[in-house]
Amino acid sequence: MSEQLHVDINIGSRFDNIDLVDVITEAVLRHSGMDDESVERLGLAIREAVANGVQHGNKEDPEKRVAVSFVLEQEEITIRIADEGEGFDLEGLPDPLAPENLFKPRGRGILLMNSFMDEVSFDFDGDKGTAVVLRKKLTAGDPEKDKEDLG
Amino acid sequence: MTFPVRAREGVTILEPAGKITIGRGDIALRDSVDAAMSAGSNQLVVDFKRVTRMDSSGMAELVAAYKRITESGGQMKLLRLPSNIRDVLGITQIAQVFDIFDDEDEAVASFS
Repeated sequence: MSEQLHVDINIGSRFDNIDLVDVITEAVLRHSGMDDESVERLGLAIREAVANGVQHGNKEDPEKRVAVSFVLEQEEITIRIADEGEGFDLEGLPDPLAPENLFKPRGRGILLMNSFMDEVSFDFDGDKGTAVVLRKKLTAGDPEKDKEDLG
Repeated sequence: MTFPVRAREGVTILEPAGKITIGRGDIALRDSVDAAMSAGSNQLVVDFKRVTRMDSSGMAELVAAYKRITESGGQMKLLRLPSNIRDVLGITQIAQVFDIFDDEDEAVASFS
């Protein structure tokens, strides 16, 4: 697959900076030609991952960085969000859909990532931090590409 | 920061705008609900007409506010959800907790 666009952003761990990532995210997603609903859904999934890095990974320490890398290819977009935190127990997170957890604050961000992306994977690398990798195929629901495919 | 509110027939209508997301909008939602409750109101409608996005932190504050209000004997209902917010409240099953209205008259009347 040929790489069409590669964008790297690196932010200090402040909530305000998440809005800056939002702006770049929307530009990259629109560049891919996806429709408004997909831009909103993927944008929210990416935002959730960045917010997790800022809040839970780096504990809002502005000296610690969150690196966001977008790689747009012909048929797929991959977004890698890496923080400098110690990681977390993925299995220990409450299931936000369990009735007893409906009023608990945590777990919905990863639920949204899983709902809106084709693939969500975590890379826990000890002292180096935690990365989440989000992948989405671009063919389905992408009207611009559909038009191209129809020739 | 708190969101604008107005009163109608004994019901407080909260009118947030923009993003209810981590760090600012979520806090504003919490503070706005607390301010309404401190002012003696526990019959609350949140009008989402001008809300553009809600993330998981906003949702956490929304259900926390619902819990505080219902535990005080009040009610909290949602009005005019944009499609993207209806989408995420459905996925997270938060939508099933709330009465949701598209019409303000019906929302206000539902308290009586």
